[in-house]
Amino acid sequence: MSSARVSIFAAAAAFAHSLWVQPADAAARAKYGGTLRIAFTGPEAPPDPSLADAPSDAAMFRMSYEGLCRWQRGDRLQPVLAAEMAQAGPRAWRISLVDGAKMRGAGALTAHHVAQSWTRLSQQATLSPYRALLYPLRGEGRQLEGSVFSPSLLELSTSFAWPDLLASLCHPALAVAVPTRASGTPTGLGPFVSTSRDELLEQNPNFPLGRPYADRLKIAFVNGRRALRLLSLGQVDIVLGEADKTASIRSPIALYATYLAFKPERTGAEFRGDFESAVDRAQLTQFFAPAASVPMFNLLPPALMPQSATAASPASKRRASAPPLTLLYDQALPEQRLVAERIQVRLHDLGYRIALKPVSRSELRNRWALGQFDLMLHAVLMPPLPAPALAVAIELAGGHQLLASELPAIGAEPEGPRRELKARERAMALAAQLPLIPLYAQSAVLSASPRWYLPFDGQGLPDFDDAFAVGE
Amino acid sequence: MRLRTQLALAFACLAIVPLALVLPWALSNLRRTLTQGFDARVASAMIAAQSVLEQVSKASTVGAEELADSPALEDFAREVHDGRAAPSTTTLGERLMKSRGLSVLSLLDSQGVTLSSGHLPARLGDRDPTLFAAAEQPPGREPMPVMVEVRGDAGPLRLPALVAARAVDYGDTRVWVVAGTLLDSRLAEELSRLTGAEVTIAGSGSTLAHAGAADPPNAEKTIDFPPIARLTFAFSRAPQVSAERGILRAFVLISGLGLLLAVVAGWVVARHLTRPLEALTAATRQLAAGSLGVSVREDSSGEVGDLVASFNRMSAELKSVTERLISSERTAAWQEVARRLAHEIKNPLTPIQMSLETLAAARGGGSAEFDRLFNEGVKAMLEEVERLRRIVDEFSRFARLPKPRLAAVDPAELVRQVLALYPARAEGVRLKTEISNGMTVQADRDLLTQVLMNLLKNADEAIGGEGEIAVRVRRHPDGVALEVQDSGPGVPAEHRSRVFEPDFTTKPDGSGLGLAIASRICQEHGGRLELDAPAGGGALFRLVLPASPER
Amino acid sequence: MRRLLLLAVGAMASSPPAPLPSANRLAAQIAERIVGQGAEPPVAIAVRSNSRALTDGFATLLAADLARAKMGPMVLSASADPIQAARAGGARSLVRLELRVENGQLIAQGDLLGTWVNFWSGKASTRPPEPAAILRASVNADADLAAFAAEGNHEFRRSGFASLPVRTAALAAGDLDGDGRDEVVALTDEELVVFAADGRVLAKRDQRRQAASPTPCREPAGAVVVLPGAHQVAYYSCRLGKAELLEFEPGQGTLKLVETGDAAPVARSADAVLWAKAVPGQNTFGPEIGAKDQTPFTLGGIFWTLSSGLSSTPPVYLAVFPGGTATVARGAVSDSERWVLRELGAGSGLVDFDGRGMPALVTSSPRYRPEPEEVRVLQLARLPVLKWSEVLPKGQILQVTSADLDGTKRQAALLGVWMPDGSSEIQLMRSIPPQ
Repeated sequence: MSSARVSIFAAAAAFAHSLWVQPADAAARAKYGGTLRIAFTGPEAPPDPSLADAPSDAAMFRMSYEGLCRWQRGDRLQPVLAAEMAQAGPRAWRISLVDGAKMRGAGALTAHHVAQSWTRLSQQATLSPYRALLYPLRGEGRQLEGSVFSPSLLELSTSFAWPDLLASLCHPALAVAVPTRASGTPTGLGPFVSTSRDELLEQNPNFPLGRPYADRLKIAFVNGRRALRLLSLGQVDIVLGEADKTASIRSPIALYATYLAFKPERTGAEFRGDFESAVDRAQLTQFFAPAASVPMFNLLPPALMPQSATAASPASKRRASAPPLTLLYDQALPEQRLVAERIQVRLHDLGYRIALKPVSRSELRNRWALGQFDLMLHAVLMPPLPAPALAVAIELAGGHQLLASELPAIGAEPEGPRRELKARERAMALAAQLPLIPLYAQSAVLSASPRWYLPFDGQGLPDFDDAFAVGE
Repeated sequence: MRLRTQLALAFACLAIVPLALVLPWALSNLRRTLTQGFDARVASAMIAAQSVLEQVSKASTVGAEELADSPALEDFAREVHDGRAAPSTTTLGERLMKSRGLSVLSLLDSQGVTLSSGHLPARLGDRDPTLFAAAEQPPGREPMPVMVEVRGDAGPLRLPALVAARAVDYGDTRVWVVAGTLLDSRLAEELSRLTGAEVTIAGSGSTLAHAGAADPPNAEKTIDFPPIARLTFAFSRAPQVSAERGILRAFVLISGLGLLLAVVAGWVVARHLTRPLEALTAATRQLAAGSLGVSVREDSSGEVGDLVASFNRMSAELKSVTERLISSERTAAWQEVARRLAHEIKNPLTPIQMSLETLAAARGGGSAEFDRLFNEGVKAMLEEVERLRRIVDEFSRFARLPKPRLAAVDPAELVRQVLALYPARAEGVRLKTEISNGMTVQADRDLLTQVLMNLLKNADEAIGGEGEIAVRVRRHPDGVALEVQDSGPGVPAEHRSRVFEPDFTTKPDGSGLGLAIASRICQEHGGRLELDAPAGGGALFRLVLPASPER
Repeated sequence: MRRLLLLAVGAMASSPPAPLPSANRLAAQIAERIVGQGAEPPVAIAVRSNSRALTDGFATLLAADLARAKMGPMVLSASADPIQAARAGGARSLVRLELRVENGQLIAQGDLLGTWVNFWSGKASTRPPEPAAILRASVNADADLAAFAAEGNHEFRRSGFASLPVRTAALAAGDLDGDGRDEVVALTDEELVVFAADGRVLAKRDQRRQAASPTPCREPAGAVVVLPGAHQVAYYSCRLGKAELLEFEPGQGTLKLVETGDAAPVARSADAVLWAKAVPGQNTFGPEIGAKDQTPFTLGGIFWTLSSGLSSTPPVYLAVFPGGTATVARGAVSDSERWVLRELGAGSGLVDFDGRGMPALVTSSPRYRPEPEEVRVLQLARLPVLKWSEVLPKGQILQVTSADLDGTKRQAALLGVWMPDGSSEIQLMRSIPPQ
């Protein structure tokens, strides 16, 4: 039965892939204009782009918060807020910003804003695993004021050779987000700008890539079933976060990886073995993880390294006395509850007493930063290259100290494929010692009406500024 | 017991008796009624609880049947048959369960593997032997009580449930629908709300659910779902008990109040009645004590008023009579004294006359023995004159005997004082005292002292410096007895009756008045002086005085 | 559907099929195969070949055979996407055939597929497994057939002309230096390049140092017009947000700025340049156009391109609107006979291939970023007839302009093709007269 399920899954994936190359009829060139009506099915968006890990959240944030660049399909870097990004030396990089880009409430975009946005990932209050993306920079990206050469020029220097630096800078968590005096939410620069009405975003004519095709975005926050109904009635055009059987588009790039982080001193050293014997990842992914999930057996998601399932561990014995543990998970992600319950129930059969505790995403990040947890379901949006992804994974596992020894060795490989190979090797080698159990990886899930054309980028996120209305 | 108290008690008793008769009867009646009411309530509550449980059972069976017939299950069975597993099966069980108001729902395949679970969605893909066993049971024994695992905070909890199972077939694929309701705290709360009892669901030795509260004392009823669960309903008797207690308290309060009122009323009435009687009693006592002319000034009517008036009349008469008597006694006493005096004086006068006559004769005759006769005669005349003087002294002393001023005197203390004042005794005189304390007499202190001194002196003289004197103070049927006993020769029997007469003496120089005076004094005190001859010889003088009435 | 039938009838009316037994035989064979595969009626037929007449004729024969077999045939117009058209027409099977004459054989090859769509599955392209078959048949071609096939068979050949490191924003041609042959002017976001008729670079103007407009453009876009006789070229660049008039100095190979403005030169009329206002930040213009000092004229709406076929009398204009609809106006712009066309591509233009004053319509695939791209040559008529189509191995055509590169009045089409790697090629398409 399970092999049939796997094959069905593969067929579904292939089918979804066929929709990926979504041909649009009767539009020879992208047409400007129209209101793109989006239904967002996730719960309230997190307050900060660095917390917007889920692809739906990241897509939402990308409407008004852009970074220096975007990673496009075909391993191509598309500068957005940067006019030019180039390597100036073996460890030096020069980034010049576009002219005249204005942020609402914060004035023109300067290199200071960029530095400020990045350094907050390393601050204690807003510590983020994505700070590993900045680790190669001198000072680990904590102090970047020295890199600000002029208001429109950033001169970055890395402590060791790291050819994937520019690709890392395209990650959505590194989007420019500058706190404003007025409100709590930071301001940024994106293809759309918020208006006085919360649900309406207008096209930004000054966006460096050119104004988006759509005139405006109209966003409604509804639950999944209602959103799909609205889609079928033609009252919304895109449903972010929910898959419809007939109209779903899934980016084939599944980079939103969910891990189970654990503290060995609390759970005991045999926890990993117990987990592997108790929980069948394929089954977990198929039934409990949300749609568009693939099981993840290794430290890096399947999109970044070919997965090799660990050999089936022998069935563990029931533990006589296990300490009571608490499993923290994100209360904003409904699927995490199912996954957490599955883990709880399976480990219960082995004698573990696990209490589930949903917390807000910022609280989850906080607890991760302080190391105050027993077990935690932690999901991050991985960058699309193996080497930076490995850095994020190591950081996520609490191995910040390991970065100093691991990353330089990987960055020393100048050629891309060899570097990727090295990163994968290290991922395999480190898997056993990092207290991080990979579970599954998800891609962005959308349902779209055929009236709109919506492309995806190399990070697996939809590019709403490139969306346009297809003919009548 | 005094009349007043008696009357008051009588009133009180009058009030209490009916209450006391009524209370136990009323209380037992009340208890019976309350118990009946309680039992009826318990019975109806248990009927309601049974019906709820039957409904729950039926809901399980009906739920399973309805689900088995529903198109959702048909589609699901087809999907299972075709081998298509939609990811939504994870939540299918939960949705179906919630939409039909059940709390247990598992869809199992023909091997017992969970295809979807509503109560524990995380069990998808695992074998569930318990529910599979329930599924394979032949219908007719439904719903079955089983222990199921449901979601809990720290892991799955095991709770009892009533489940029923039906099969859905599609081709050669069979899907089991096992549906039911948990016997959990929600059910316990519902039952508790319905019955008003404390509901406890216990299974496998521990309490699984609990709702409501019942203060002890409790009456318990149980409903069993063997072998997994037992529902215990504890109905509190506390309201009944407190009702009883309350009524009892009320009764007691009312009784107490009534009693108090009765007592107070009784007291008031009694007082009204007995006050004149008490006044009469007091006056009578006074009268008896000697004060004359006592009258009762009380306003009363009826028989008591007549009584009071009679008393007053009687008292006045008594007074006048007593005065007349006293005056006549006085006259008689003077007459007696005069007679005695005359007699006493005549006695020595005769020898004097004789002597003088002799002398006169002697002188006239120029007798040679005149000198001798003259000397003898003078001597004899001087003796007689001395005697005369003594008699006069004593009689004047007797006459000067003051009226005793009575006051409360402690005889024991008086005796001790007298003994202390008594001059030192000669050696060979043993003094023995037996003094009882705690008595009081109405007496004139000085006069009694005099009497005691006189008696002691007599005793002293009687033993002549060698012997024993015993002084006693003791109770006497007529009051208090003060005794002086000596171990002397005693008083011969023929003289015993005459010792208290004024002119009797055995002493050479006695006037014979001492004892008479003592006797007179005793009489004035309302008592008497007696002479006894004790068994061991000697003389016993006993002074008996009436005891002062007890206050 | 009606349109397709009309096309079929029109095809029959315009070129009655000669009794060519080979074609009949071939049609019969194919029909037999189709029936033998158990195709479900109605069956749609899409035939392609290099010759319009052969296409239409064979389609007719095949339709007749299938009709006899009670297969409910319907012939699809060649310009439409056959699968979509088949579904739209309600066909349950589709036969796609390509005909060619090769080595004395008339060969028909193609496939048969089912196009039935489950009503309930909505827009998902469910493709039931049956029928699906490859069809191939060949017969010896009659001698007449070859002639028939060749009649009206214009071949078009594409070749490379020039390549640029970035994507073209606009393309135009005109005689800048007065030598009787057109020069080709290509506008990109970085520079304006003037090519000679043989592809040599004559002049460049670097735009990189110029400040971008505050409303950048998402794609390279603009408009270029060559003002012949004046040795001037006017252009509008979306990136700069402004227009410039440059003077070409042929001897020195330089372009000198004459003046700047903000109206975009969108096309040439017989005697003037037509200007329109550009929509800032977008690749569209209008809706008003007009020559300087003349009253402006409003087109149907904002438009992508305006192309003029000045060799015909009266001149013909083609305005392509966003979405692929276009208006053809024959006559003066303000007072002309007009009709509407649909499903034109982004790169469209009027090119007079044979110099006879009847420009053809060259257009790209109507799909957005199609893979593969297709260039189509249509006879300009109320119902345009596809005369030629060719699939490009890579790239997308964004600009089409006409150029008379050899002074023979027989124009060639210049295609601005965007390559996947971000560069672009200017390709040349000429018509080869039939042998």
